[in-house]
Amino acid sequence: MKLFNDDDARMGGEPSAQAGAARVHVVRPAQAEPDSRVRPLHIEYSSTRVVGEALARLRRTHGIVSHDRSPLSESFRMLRNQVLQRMRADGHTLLAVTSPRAIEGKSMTAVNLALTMAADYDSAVLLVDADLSGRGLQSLFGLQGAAGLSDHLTDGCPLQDLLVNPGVARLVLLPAGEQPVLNSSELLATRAAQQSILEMKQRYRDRYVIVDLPPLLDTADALAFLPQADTTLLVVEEHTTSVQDVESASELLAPFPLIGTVMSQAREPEPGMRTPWYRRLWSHGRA
Amino acid sequence: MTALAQDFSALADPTALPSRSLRDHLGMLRRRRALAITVFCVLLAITVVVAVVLPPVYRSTATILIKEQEIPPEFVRSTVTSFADERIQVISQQVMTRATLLEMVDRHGLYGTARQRETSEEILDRMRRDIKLTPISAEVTDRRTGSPVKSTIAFTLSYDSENASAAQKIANELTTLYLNENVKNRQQKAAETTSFLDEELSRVTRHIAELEQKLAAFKERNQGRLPELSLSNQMGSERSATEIQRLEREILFLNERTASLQAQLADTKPQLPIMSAGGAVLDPDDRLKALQMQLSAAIGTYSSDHPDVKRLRREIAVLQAETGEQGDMTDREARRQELDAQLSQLRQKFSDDHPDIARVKRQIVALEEAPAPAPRTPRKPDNPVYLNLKAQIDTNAAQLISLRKERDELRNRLSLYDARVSQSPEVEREYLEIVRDMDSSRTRFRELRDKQMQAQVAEQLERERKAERFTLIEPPIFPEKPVRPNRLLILVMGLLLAIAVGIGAAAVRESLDRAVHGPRDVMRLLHVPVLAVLPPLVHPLAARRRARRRLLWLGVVAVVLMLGVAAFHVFYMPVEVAWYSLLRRVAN
Repeated sequence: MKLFNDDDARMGGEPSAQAGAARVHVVRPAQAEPDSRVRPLHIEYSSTRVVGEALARLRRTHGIVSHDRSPLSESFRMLRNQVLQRMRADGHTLLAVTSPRAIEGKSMTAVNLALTMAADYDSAVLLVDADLSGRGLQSLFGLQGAAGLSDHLTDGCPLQDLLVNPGVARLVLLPAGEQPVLNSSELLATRAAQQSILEMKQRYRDRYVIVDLPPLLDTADALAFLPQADTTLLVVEEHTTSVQDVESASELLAPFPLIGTVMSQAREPEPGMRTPWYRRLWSHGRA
Repeated sequence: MTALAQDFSALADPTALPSRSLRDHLGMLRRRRALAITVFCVLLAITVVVAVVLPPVYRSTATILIKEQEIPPEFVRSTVTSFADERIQVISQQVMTRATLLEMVDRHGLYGTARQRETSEEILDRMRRDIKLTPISAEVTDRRTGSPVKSTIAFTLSYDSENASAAQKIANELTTLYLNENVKNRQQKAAETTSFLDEELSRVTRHIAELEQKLAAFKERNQGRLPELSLSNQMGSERSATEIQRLEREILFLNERTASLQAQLADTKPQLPIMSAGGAVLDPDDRLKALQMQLSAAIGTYSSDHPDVKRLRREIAVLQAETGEQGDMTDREARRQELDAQLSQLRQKFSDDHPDIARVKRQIVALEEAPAPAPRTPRKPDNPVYLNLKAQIDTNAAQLISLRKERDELRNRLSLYDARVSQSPEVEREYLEIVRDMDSSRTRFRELRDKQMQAQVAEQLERERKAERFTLIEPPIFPEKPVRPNRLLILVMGLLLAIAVGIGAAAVRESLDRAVHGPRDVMRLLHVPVLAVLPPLVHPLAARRRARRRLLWLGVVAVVLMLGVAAFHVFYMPVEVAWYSLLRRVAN
């Protein structure tokens, strides 16, 4: 259970051998306890709902980084470091994650980046699911039906009531909302929304906001939100995303700062979820 | 991330971006290896199946030599003059008729199941494709021009079949057909030539007979006017003219002679003079005239009752009765004129009362009153001179008549001759026409007869097979090895083709693919660094399942293969036999 650098003394958790071996944080079991120089950013979640089982749900999903030295984890650490360096250098706090078309890797990348960033001692992370159509990352946490951003924007629910801590230190999640909304792009562009986002950015020091946006070319939501984002990370799936889509995305993103791209690989579909080859060919040909 | 560093440097200088390196191509192949290998395997399998399954084709070939005429063509010229290849083509058309081929197919049961399945047209096409006729040419020097020409000296006839013995049999039959057809053709052609010439000859003969008849009729119609007689006609005409002239002269002479004779006759008394006392004996006429003169003189002198006058009158009457000549009218007229002249003379000298005048007047009256003399009763002349003259005159007259007749005849003949001569050009034209026709017909007849004889000899030549003929120098043999297919070649070509098409399919698939491959693509498009390349995610469950499935497939394939081999072994032929036969086939 105690995986994500959760070496909070009060939780009484012992860092595992793997966690100790993590390259980013030079944490050695022998030094860990008495050494006070290593002081992770500590946040008491007094007002935030803690949903412990969300982490367990997340763990069951394949492709989520874990506290190990698997290639996946390592590449996300690499990514995190680069992103943090660049954002810190530019003073950015809000990172929008999007992709040209709907791909499985986008939300996954957002979640993994958030988890990896949260594992960094010095940064707290707010992960916002801005995909208001409802099939975004909140389902990865098993939080279907939880109130979220759309409820805040439509009904004015206070943000602090909506935030969820999925059982990972320094990570707070803002779900998309209870129900899918149709006018999502208008909602995201309202003054209230802008105000909320500004509040999110400025509420805590050393907190990074990662917004999981809908695909850039499928809906107008992403474009509506982009002015609020400090910078953008584009996820491209190798062998799947077409050159044409990347070009279109590049044109759309031209006015906004782009931090870089992440190239993900097409996932082996889950057993039983495989689409027939002819349909794949067909959809591919059309793309 | 050294690759990334490279990419950065590449990004700094966009022109340095390499196009497609070998690594890209290999990467492409690796990405599309499933497709490439699938295509390769499928093609290779098809090739192998084709190479093994393709039925062997056996070919049996006959070589037929075109042998030249044995008798030198200078002596006997064949009536079949077409070129050998042309004839071979003609024979091919005759042999490869639907009926012949289909009969052969049915008799030998060729094309087994296809015969039941396909239309006879398709079967015929197959058969025609299987029959191959290849002329063998050689450079031959043309005897007349001395220039080298290509000439067909032989040809091969082959038949392809999946069955070696069938190939031989059919090739054999075809060869026989070709040989027979050639002989038949040649003989038929020669016979046709002969019969045609015969017919032609009889036609010309008929024509000549007609002409002869016509000529005969013409000659009959124009007898004597024929141009060949024209000279004789002319001569006849001339001769007749001369003859006529001669006759004319003779007639003239005879006339003159008759005239002189008549003069003589007139001078001669028919009767002999009566010898009187007075000496001179007058013939009755003269006495009558004399008496009449005495009487007229007496009338002048005396009155009519004078006894002298009376006596004179009686005497005259007797004489008149005797001579039968009543004082010739001419005599009387002459007398009258004489008296008139006398009277007019006297009137000039004397008055009317002059006794001379009165006498003359009385004489005139007496003359006028004198009765017309009674017809004289002829008296037979008895003067020999007279008779002689008379006879001569008569002869002359008779001669004249005959001469005149002769002359008239000659004149007729002359006119006939002249008519003939004048008509002769017209006749000659017509005549020459017929003769010319006749001549040309005769010439034609002779020519045709010569040709007919030649044709008969040529026909004989064909009948005895001494003319140019086809000789089988190599009969079709039983083919021991198939000519097709070259299995090894098919395999090698199939392998190469499979490789090429496999790679090609991958390349095509790749070119159809518009997806981004590798961080370089993204960087080129977005001009921002690729911060991370995530490793591929394989769900452990999926990986397990895939492994399981692969195992399952292998098992299924193995089982199917084994079952197949077992079935083959049991139902078709033992595996080891099949193996050896396969080896043999490949070796072939």
